[in-house]
Amino acid sequence: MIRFSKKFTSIAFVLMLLCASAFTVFAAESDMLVDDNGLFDSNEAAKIEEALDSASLETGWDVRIYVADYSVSADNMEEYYNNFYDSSDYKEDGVLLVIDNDSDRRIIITKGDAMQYFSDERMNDIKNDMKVYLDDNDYYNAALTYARDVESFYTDGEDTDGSYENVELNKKDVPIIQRTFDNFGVFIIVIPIVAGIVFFVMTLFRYSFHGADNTYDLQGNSKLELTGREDRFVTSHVTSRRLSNDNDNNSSSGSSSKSSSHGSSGVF
Amino acid sequence: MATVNYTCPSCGAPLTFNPDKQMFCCEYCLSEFSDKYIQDYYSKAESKASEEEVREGKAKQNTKEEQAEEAVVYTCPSCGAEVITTATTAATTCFYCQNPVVLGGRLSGEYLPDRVVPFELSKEKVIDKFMEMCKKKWFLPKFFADKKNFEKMTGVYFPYWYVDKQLQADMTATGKKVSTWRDRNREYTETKIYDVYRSGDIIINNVFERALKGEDRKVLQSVHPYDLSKAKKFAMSYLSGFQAEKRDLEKNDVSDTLNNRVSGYAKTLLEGSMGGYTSVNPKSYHEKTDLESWSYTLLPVWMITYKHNGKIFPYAVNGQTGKTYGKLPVSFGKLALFSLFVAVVAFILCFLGGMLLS
Repeated sequence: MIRFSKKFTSIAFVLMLLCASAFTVFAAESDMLVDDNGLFDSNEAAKIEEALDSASLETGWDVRIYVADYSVSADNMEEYYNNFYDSSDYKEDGVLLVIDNDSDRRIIITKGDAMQYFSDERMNDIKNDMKVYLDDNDYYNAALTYARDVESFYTDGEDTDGSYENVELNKKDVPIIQRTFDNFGVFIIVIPIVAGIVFFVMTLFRYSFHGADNTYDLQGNSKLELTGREDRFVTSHVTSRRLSNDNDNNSSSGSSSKSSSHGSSGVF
Repeated sequence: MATVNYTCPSCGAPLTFNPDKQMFCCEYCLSEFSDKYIQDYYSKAESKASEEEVREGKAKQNTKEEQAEEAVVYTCPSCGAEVITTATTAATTCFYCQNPVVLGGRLSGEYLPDRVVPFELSKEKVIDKFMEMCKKKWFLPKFFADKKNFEKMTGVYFPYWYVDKQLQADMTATGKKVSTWRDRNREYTETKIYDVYRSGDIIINNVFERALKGEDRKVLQSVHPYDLSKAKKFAMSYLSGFQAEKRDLEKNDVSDTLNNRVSGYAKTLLEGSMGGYTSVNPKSYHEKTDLESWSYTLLPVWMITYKHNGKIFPYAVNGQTGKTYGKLPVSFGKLALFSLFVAVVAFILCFLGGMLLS
């Protein structure tokens, strides 16, 4: 009996360990909600996690919420949290809601395929849906609304009629051929046409007047003996001009973002 | 019309001037004769032709016939055919028997040329040169670069007026010397102005102008230059085997053109002597001619005309140096295709450049 119990206990213990590790695996995967500021209690967090997991499963994206315990200025939030997403070990395609509770600012960042589902109109819709709760400081329902709306946008498909001004594409994400034509399209079209026309006209001209025209050798057929020579200085004047300073040139760092392509709701 | 028919003293066959050998050659008995020999041999015939022309001219004056006839009929001394030529033709080939005929009277008296530059390039050599040139031209129509087209090439002696002038000239001008230098943030420009004066004795030789109306002036002017050191005292025999034209533009008709050109050259020489200036701006110029010498010269030109798209194109080759001048026909299809190719290449290069810069 004791032997049986020992065996049974061992087996049970191993099973428990396995179950625990499986649970921890699941637990490790379910960090779609990161609440560094303690905005949600454990029950709320669990339900929000569930909603986020469901949305993630449905869409195949990372649908996340991050509650920050520090503040970033409104002007920098977009770039900061876009870089935050890139530097975190998140999927290429995802949606991130950032809540900066201390400053009462929020922002939604979309990445990868998710950008194509979040047109400007839909961004406004999701913000408006959330604002209903945010005005009452009901972050819990706002978070659930966020997860639900993300899933619903996915289900509805890409918004082909919408505008996408919220999306900022990094140069490197635009195909090089398109980028080349966007930047130099006029020159690429005009210069070859001009080259072809110039070649055509110049060849016609050369064939029309084939042979050298200037046929009189003045040097070989003439002689000059100077009998009088005078060079009389009359006057001189000096003018000056200021040279432009090359250091005055604007060192344009460019307004183009160095961050990767992303969509943004803007701070709300 | 008095004519001279140059035949071989040995066998009586037509005798023509051979540019390659610079001698008179008989194609039948292969005899060769120097130009001096032929000139001496035919001196009587040539004088007779000139006298006959003068008599005919006086007779027309007495009957008050118009001097400026457009065409003249002559009798070929070889076959007796009556052939019509234009008023300026001085040597030609009988249309019927193909024998060369020199209308001696046309180049006598006041129309006697002072000198002639004989042909140095034979027809075959000219055709070869021309074909060589055609090979380098990619856009000629297929029909053009065919030797058969150039069999019609004709050697013609064209008349030119030459003038040599000695003159005294002076010129005043404003000369500018411009220098620049930099000092930190400023650039300084100094301009010095001078009154410049030059005078000198100038000799300008061999200024030429065609002495024939009607022909394409640009072609006849641009086929120059000729090496006049190889010019010879005129003899009618040089014309045998070629066509020749007598002048119909007199000295007075071309003197303004030539004098203006000489003045232009003199100004260029004087300006050239005003060295050391950034720019020279002439203000006044004076000249006085001391000596002026005119000569009437026959120069060799190989001529061919061809038709393309309903238009006639003249093409000339200098009979001494081989220099060519004229309008070449263009195959628009070939040219358009190649232009498109150029555009495609430019497109690829621009695109690659754009990709590198993007």
